Amino acid sequence: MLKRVAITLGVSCCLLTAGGVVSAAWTDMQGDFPGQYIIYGGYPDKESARAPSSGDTKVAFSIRGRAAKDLFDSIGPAPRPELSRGEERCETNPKVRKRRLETIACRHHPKDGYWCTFGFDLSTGLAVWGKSGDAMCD
Amino acid sequence: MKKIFAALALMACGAALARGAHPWAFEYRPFTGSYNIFGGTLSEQVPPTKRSKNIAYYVKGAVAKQMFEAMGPDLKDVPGADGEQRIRQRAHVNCSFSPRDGYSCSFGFDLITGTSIAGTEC
Repeated sequence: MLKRVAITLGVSCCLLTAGGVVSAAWTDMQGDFPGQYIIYGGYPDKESARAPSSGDTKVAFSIRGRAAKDLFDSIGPAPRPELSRGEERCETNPKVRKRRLETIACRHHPKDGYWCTFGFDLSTGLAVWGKSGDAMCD
Repeated sequence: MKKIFAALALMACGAALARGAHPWAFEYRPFTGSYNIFGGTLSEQVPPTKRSKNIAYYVKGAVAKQMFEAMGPDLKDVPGADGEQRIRQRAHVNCSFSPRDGYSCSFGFDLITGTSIAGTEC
């Protein structure tokens, strides 16, 4: 009896999930997420960054998990050099997939999953790099 | 000799105080936000397609406060700005403060071209 209930429940859940994926595929690409940020001046790496000052204040965001996966997937792998986008792999570790779209950089690393970074110059509002591009293969 | 040490210690203490309780360091800090990937426009959203795909971000708390403070001054005579709500903007990055809701910022990207877009409608 228990087994039958379990199977019935399992099948219903599968059907529900499958239905949910189809109907909610778009609305699922949203949600709350935790991330990390830094406010800095100069350049976004530890050696060249300095304290923010008037006229030189930037913010860099670093995002992991589902929010990063959705961004990674949305950027897509299509090589589009004219738009500075596409997918590359790290020379040092070919398992690391990097995707870039202008100032947005994402990667998938087999060890720690999806990660994206981007930033803004708060003096001008223009989009700038988040963590420096070299960090992608670390 | 003791006096010199005491004076030096006092000066070091003063310098530390002058930098504030949180001296700047290259340290990432946690924040929470929300995101939304959509096609069409902010006001008329449709499922994203290969030709129309955008992302809007909304962040609040300490990160929004720091962004707000870096972006001054307040915008005047814009929709939504009144005695309660203060709005600051640089290009498509928009931050606001109200005593009721605190600090929040919004921004976004066109995920086809990679250009920066607004994250709210105003």
